[in-house]
Amino acid sequence: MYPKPIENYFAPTSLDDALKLLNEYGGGARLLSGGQSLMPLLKARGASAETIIDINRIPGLAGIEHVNGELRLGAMVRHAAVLRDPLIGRVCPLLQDAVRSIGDPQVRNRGTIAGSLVFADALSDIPVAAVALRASVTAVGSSGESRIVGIDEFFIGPRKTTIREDEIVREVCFPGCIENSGGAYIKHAHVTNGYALLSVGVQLTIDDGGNCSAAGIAIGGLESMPARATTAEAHLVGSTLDGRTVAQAAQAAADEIATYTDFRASAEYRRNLIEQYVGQMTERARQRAGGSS
Amino acid sequence: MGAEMKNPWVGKSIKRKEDERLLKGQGQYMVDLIVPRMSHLGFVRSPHASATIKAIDASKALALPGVDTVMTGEDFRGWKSVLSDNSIPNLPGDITKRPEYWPLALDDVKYAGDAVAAVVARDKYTIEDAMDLIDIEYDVHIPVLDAEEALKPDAPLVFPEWGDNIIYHQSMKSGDVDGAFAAADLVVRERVPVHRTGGQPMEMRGCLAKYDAADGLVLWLTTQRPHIIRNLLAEYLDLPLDKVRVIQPKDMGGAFGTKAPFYREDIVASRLAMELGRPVKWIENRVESLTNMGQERDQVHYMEVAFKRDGSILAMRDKIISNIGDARTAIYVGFAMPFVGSMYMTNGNEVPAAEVDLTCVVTNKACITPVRAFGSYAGRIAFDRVLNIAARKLELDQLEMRRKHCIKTFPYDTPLGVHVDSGDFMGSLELAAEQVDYDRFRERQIIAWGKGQYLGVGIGMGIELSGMRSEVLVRMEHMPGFGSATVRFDAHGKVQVSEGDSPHGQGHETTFAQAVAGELGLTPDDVYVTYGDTMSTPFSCGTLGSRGASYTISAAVMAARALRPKMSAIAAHMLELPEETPQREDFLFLDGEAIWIPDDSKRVSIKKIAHVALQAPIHLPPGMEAGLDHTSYYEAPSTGMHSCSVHACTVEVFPETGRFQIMKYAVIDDSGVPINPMLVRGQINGGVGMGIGNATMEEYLYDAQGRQLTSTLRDYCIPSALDLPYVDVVHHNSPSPHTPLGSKGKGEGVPGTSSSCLVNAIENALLPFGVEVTSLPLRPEKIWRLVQAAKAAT
Amino acid sequence: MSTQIEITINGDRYQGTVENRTLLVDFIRETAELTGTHVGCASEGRCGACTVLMNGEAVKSCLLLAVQADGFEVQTIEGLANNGKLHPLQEAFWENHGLQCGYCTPGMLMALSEFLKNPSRDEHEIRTAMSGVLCPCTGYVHIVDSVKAAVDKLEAMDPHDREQLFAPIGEV
Repeated sequence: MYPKPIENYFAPTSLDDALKLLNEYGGGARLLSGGQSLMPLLKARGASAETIIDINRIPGLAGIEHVNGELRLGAMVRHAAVLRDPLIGRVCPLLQDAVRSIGDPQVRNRGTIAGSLVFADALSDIPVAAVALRASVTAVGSSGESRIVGIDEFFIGPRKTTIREDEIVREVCFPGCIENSGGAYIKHAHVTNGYALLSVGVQLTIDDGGNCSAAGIAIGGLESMPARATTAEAHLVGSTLDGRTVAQAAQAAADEIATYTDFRASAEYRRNLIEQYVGQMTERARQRAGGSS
Repeated sequence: MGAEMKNPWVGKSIKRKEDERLLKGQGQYMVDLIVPRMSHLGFVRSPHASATIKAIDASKALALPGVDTVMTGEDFRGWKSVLSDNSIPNLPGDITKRPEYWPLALDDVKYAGDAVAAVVARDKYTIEDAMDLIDIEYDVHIPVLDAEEALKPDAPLVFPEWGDNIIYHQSMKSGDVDGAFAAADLVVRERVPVHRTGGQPMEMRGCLAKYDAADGLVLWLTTQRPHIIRNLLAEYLDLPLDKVRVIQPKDMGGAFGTKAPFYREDIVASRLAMELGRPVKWIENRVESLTNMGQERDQVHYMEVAFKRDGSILAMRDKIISNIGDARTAIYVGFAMPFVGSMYMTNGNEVPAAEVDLTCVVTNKACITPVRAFGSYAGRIAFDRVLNIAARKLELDQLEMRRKHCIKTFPYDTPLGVHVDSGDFMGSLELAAEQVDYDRFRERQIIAWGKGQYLGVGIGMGIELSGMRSEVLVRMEHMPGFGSATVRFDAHGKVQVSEGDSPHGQGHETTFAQAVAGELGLTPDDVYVTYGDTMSTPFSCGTLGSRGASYTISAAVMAARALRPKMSAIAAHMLELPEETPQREDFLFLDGEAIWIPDDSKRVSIKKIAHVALQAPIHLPPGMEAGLDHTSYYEAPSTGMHSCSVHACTVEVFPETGRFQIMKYAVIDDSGVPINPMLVRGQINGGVGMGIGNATMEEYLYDAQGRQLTSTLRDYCIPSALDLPYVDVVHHNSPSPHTPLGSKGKGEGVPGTSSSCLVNAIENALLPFGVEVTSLPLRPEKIWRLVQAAKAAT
Repeated sequence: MSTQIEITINGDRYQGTVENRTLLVDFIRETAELTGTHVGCASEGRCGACTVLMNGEAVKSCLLLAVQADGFEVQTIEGLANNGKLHPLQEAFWENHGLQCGYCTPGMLMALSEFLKNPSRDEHEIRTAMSGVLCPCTGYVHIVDSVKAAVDKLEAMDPHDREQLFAPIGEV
């Protein structure tokens, strides 16, 4: 299957040029980064692109920085780069778990973290990780001004974000990647490499007294974009993450997140998976955060 | 002389001859073929499962630059229906109805994916642009998708003219079934539905049709049976056979049975090439492949088995309802597979009496096509499910149960008419138990259960046919079962083996070369294998049903052996042995030489013999005809040739999520005398993968409107390397008493056995819950539900 | 609609004016006439038979536009053997029956050739490296064996020769 005709293809070499092109070609233009979600869509003719603006040749967008407990990834940081990076493995294991769950090595060689967020597939992995990690996205508009969008204000719904058509995401930041934090992510796919029936990301910070000082719990594989399990988070914060509290949090997550039935799984089963995996991932996150066992 | 000598190349795991080109990217697949002036063909397919076509407007598409033509079903109005007496199975039982259909949908569509229009254009991208411009107006009807629903009196009819949705019904009964059930200590009855799954080769279908008045129609085609397709194509297009040539390309990217039928696209491409005066090439895409071929299984079994208290089987009954889809794929028409499956219901078990009732039902799904296991996949699961449930009720161990039931003396004729000629089930069972350390594993398992860890062990066993002889195949599919091969020396002393079959990954170029080389004192490098072209290969029914290593290789061996007397006579003449010499023509063919047995100092090179026979016939014995070639047709002397294999695996199941992990997988295999054991192991590994994929991952799913939800490889999930276990294969062979080398076929029997083995293991792990698995697929959610239900019940 | 591009494939430069929508795999197969790279999906990019190396990284050439590879170095299966000498991975596949129908093989070999830059004998890592290419024939068993054998071969090689295997094509 082949894409519909593509009138224009541009490969700008600066963000400014890309923004100008985006401004000029407007609604018919699509940004191309990794292309691992966009290309299948174009080939299936589920979408078309009059103009493609390929941002792969813009230098300076593939930076990985860790500053003051914040992990900053440029827009063109590919999944494989995240997986290869020992620093990320140390400061943000949740993100590596999520990346490991994506597609396969070839897809990870091309796909980008920012692209995954902007594509906003309800069943994909990075959005869940981003919600759990309370990520923020830096977008640049055609006037050159940038703004920062917190993840809780980022997704409107599947395939819809608050990033405007004339904006380009420049950077994704993951705060809270500090010494005594840790996280874990699991995808329960229908089958390996399939989409999530359900996925869970848990990020924890543990203070010197052994108490949980911050918690992020995100559930994916839902009808809408990943949801934050706020009640469950509240259970964990301030606790010592003892077995009973974790079980209560897991139960709370299962209670507060609406699941659904489709041909792949029932709402009931998804509910069970939330409970199982919130418990398991909290425990794994606790260990990674350096919590005693 | 000869036959009693051990073939020195048989049993050697040599490297494959076909691999060098494949490893270098120099394979020659269908899609690689290019001829001058070639146009491309694509199909517009129905999005509806059941609808009347009200109007098709292709004017905009025809106006698009680069579009040659658009053909629709209307272009076939007045033509005959595709199915003829030669392309519908002729089976015992009631076949009263025959689907009428044309190469493109005419008036109505019967499944989502039905080809409605054919577009020819100069390049493949333009085809899709043109397809977007074709407007088709449908009057959409409510489809019937479930076989048991389709049997209800008020169900929508797939073929309204039939009055019901039954295409085929047949009953078989043998022995005192009713008496056995009356006398039974235990009767287990279960409804066992097995989902629609099957196989997808990595290379999709495709063809290239070219026509001119001199050569007629040449159709390069991804097919497992070029000769049969040639006949059917000639018949449909009213062409004499000398004007139809079908060629299977040198390399074919797998098939698993899916490329055996006579498909409609082949006819459309051929007719377009004839009418346009341009070669027309069609390459299927994966959506088409997933919605049109490779769908199989899809049966519901109502199993009943009568047991004695000691676990022995007295009799079985089974009512099978098979959902065959729209029944419009010729040769098998969807019901040949379930028929064969019903015959194999008792598998490798000793069952004194049996009764099977098979109903094949048409629905608005794609017609099922053959896929490795050929109709017997679901039955194997169903029978084993009941066996395991009985074992639990009788408090017997599954291994003990299988020891009790497996066929012990050969040959054994099953009550359903299968002649199991050879094998050693008991030996294989013991070896399988050894592979998983059965007794110790059971002890470990009990300790693990105590700690809330759920380990399980499963045994699966299965008989596998080695092809079918003409007696069966002529009646069933209007074609011979024999294997055919021509063995022909060239003037340089190398040997061409030309087979009528059409290999596609099995390694015939290697195994045939091994077998023939050994018979003629040559090396595999001296032998080259050709196939695929109906104008230059002997007639045959194709590569299917595990017949390569049984039937076709036997024909090649026979043909090679048939040359030896003539070679001996030429050698004796060349050595100037006097006519009256005792044992004058007793030669051994070894290391490239004909060696005179009474005095091995007298030798002639085989190269020279070939030279004399072909290029220098003046040196032949007086009166001898020149040439050194022979064609043989091997027909099995036994009504059935089978192998018996046993699988064993261990698993860990996680009841909280229903996930499971395979810890160890072993196969005890019987391939008679394997020609190349490494290749046999390859077949087994692939079959195990298919079985596990079928049982736990793959499923062709349809929504309530009959649209397929699994039309990409992201949704129809063939296992990746991360989904499958390592497989240990142990050879435990019982040479076939019926083939010249003792070889047996391999491939068809593996997936059903591996699925059953895995399901048995998972159920075994969950014994503490008393879980009974009675349907497939077996996915984590189902396992979790079974555990939840079992917990709730206690 | 069209763009003039130049892609270096296996060290040879191929120029052409392609439609913007032309997939890289079609450029490779049709413009460069290197038909070893195969296609096994419709739109989804799952099967991996089309895997090639682009600037040394394994990518699915059906999920890239040819224009994206303008100016890049692409290596296909035809470039894996060096002057007719098979790559140790090709040898290992041959010796261990790592292929049957051969259709996925080019993609499998290219994906694994990237893996062999940082090789491992760990079965899970090997299987992960293979997981982007589907092979319904082999059950992957002999492919795992082949990869392990290839790792052995690489380790037995002279370090200089081993480095040459992974050097950019132009520099060999």
